[in-house]
Amino acid sequence: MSHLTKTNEAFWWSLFSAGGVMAALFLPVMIFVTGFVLPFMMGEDVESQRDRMVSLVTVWPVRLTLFGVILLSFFHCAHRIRHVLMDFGLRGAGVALMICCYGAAAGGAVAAGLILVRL
Amino acid sequence: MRKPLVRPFPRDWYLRTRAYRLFMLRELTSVCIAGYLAFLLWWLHQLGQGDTESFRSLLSIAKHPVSIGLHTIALIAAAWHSITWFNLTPLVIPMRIGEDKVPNIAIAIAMGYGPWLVVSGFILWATLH
Repeated sequence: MSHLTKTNEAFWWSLFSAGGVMAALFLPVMIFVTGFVLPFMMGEDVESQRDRMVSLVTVWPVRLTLFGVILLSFFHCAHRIRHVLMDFGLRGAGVALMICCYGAAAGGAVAAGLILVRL
Repeated sequence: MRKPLVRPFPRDWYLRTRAYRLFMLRELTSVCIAGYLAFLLWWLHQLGQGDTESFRSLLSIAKHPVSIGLHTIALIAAAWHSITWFNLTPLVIPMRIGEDKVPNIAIAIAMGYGPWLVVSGFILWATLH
């Protein structure tokens, strides 16, 4: 077998790279919002907290942005986790590993799409 | 024929030098991020239920010490991902203006830290104002 076998690595790398940018820009502040702002910095009135969060997230540009961030970040993680597992010694399981990692990312992206459309 | 070279691949190679350990730490941020993304899907699903009860359960889980601990870990991992990512950007996309090489720190700020500050500030402002 040639060492110059065609691979799809460039395609997966471009998703990994785009996801890396999205995760780097958006996730720290999103983690801060769901973990600390919502439970501790938005007052005690549950109804008003809910209304504010729902009105924030249901705007279409926000839904689309969230979809992009979640989809690309999932593929970013899938790519890194696949390479980490290969570095841990799972080199032999190449195709199965790809199906598991990118399949899980695709599943997460579909779930995100369904949830965001129905918000 | 000479014996083919089989490169040694010790199981604990990533623990052996500081550079390898930092590399592995950076790569493993993706596990925390994936975990947070799964939580975020559940969070959005709960928010979309449209009743106060689902939102109350979301709130009580968010106030639980386990959630605070996991969010803290996720925040540190995500911030570490951002910092390492922005610092690598000038190595992946080196830029020149005429003959001069744009300094790495300028690329990192223009394409990374600057936008990071703007996005974070805007989202915080939108949630708090």
